[in-house]
Amino acid sequence: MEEHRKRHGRRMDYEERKRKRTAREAHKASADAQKIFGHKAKLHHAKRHAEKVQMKKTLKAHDERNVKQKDDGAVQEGALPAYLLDREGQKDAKALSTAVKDRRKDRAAKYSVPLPKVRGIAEEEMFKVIKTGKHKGKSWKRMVNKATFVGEGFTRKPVKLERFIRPMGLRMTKANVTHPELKTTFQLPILGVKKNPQSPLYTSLGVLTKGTILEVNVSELGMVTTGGKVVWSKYAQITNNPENDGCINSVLLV
Amino acid sequence: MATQLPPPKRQKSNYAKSLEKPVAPEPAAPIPSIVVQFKSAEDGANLGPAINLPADTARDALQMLVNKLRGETEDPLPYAFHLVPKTPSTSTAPQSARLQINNSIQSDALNAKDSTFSPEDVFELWCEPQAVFRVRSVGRCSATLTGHSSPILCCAHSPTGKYAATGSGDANARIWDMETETPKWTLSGHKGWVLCVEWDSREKILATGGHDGQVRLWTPQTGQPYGQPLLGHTKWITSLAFEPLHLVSSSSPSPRLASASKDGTVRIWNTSTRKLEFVLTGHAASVNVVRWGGENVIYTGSSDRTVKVWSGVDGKLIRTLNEHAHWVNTMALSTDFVLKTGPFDHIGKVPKDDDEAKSLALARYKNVIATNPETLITGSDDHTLFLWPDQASASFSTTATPKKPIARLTGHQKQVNHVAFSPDGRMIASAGFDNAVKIWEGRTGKFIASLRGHVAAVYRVAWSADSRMLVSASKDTTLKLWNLKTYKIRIDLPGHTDEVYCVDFVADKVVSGGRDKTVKM
Repeated sequence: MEEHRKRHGRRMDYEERKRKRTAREAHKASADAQKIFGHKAKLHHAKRHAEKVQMKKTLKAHDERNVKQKDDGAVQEGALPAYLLDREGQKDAKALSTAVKDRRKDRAAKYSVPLPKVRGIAEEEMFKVIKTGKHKGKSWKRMVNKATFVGEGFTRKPVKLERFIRPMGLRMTKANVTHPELKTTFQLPILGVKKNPQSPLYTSLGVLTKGTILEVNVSELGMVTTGGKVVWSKYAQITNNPENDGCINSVLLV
Repeated sequence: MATQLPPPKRQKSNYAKSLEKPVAPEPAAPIPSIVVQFKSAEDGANLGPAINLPADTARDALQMLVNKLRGETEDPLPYAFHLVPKTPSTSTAPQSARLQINNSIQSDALNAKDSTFSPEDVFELWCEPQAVFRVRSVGRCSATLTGHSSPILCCAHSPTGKYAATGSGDANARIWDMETETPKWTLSGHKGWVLCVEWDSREKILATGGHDGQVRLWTPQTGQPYGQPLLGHTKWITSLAFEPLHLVSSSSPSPRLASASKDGTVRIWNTSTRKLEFVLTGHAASVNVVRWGGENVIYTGSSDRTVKVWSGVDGKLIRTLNEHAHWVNTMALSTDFVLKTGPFDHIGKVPKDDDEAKSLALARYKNVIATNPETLITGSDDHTLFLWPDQASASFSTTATPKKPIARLTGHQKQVNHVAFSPDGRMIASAGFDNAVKIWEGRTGKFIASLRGHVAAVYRVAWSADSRMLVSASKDTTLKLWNLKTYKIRIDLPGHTDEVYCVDFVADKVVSGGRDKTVKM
């Protein structure tokens, strides 16, 4: 072949044909890749995948060349000793003002909780009207639709006089409490409902909705007061809707 | 007539005054005679029979008496005395555990404001021998050394006290000569802040751990790196600990190094070959502090609220102590000082070679261990400290329960940042973020006193080598030297212009470094 080329040269339209052929190559390759099947297809696609990976690497290298890199020799600012790393340090200028604000808040006796506002719950959503009587005409009984907490030693009032029914299926005794600093969750027994933000009626009924403050038994955490006494109960606030999830997730108020 | 002034009274002349008889001084109150029983503070044994003494016997006289009773008149030891006040049933105020006798029993106990003693009690006087040498009190700042371009994060003094090494946020560590107060070497090579620095007990290797997760070894005599950096940790190094000299086997002449890191592992390196020996995994969160005990036991405290005890021979977990309710920040061993200084003691003898150094270190260690076994104290973010019994020899004793702590030390109102045993193991000092330094008894963990004076969080404490002085460094830019007889400030050492991050007590100098990038001596 080479000898023939040396002797007679190439065709007149050789360059034209070559140009057109290379232009068509992309389309031809794409058409082939879509049409081939079977063993040939597998081999082709594997080869193509390897090429694609290589191509991506070179593109990325080009990108990095263009971007200005931060000098690796420079170390970060704000050096802290090992025992202060992982702790939020306060900027000195703000320390005084935050300290004063904290003191003012303590004196005003406002409790800051993780969920300060909760959605209002309508009575139709909270209670289901139970019709009683021979002709089912009386409708003064209500059944609570949300999760509730009744203490140990709870006995129902005489059924004929009971106005609010708290179904056994919706009664809960344990809560999953997350410690905000340790970021670990413990399952702790509930001691009581301190306050339901919706209304004092719900607090007295023991209804557990999102935002309710509970009292939980924390003796298993092992916390101790400065006097050496073991802390055994703390407040926690519910962060989910227990009637939808079937469990109570809450955050410990330290 | 104008009112006339009365004629001046006749004044007595000086001569006339001197002729008067001098007023006889009031007869002093009769000094009661009391019965004193000397008790040794180490084991509670009686040192001799109960003795009848006048109540105003001075402390030196009491000291001489005790020395005579013990038969040590050739090498008299200085003693500190204290009484344990009885708690009356009606009193509700918390009593301190001891009443120091500084001048004499009469002035300190009987004449004190709210004393519960009467001259008819039998006084049980507890005697504690103190170090024979006395460290001179620190008075003023003798040198301010600049050179670091970033806050100084850690400092450590060499076992002999000749050098001090500091690590800083500019990724350099510097070695300073303490006697001439000049910089000696600058050790650069780290790529991140130098977070911890440790000397080995023969003063031949210096180890530094950085924010980049590397541990580098240096030779202090030449200032050159001792081989390649030790890589392997994926996060920053929180703490370093060298193997005690008396445990170094003769096959590998350099002590091994333990490095603890935020990635939850502790790696044990062989410093002569710079190879990794084994890795202690098992902690679920950052390992905050590691200590190598004298019985070849490694203690690690971590942010997963547990303290784990490992064997130094093969790296197996011996036991886990989980009583804390929050991160374990800091740890100290009662034998810390002895292990750190190795063969060097206050006499200053330089060992000739490695074997002699090893035997000297072993002798000093056995001396300390003989009276009380090695105990561990851990301080945590849950505002309390735990005192743990000897972990290593528990296998020999049948009644020991090594998992149960000896005592829980409560009282701090905020996190406990640093805890340190006094060199004689008798007292524990703890520094917290609630601006107080608290002193506790070293053996039982009973509260002794609270040292207040700082106005911001106290970061570190350091004891002097004779256990008589305590210096504390705080966020309020001051260092305070405390008087351990009255539990008040002895000397205030201001001068730093920003938070003081680290302090160390060497022979009779205090080295401190902080955010103002200067080292003060």
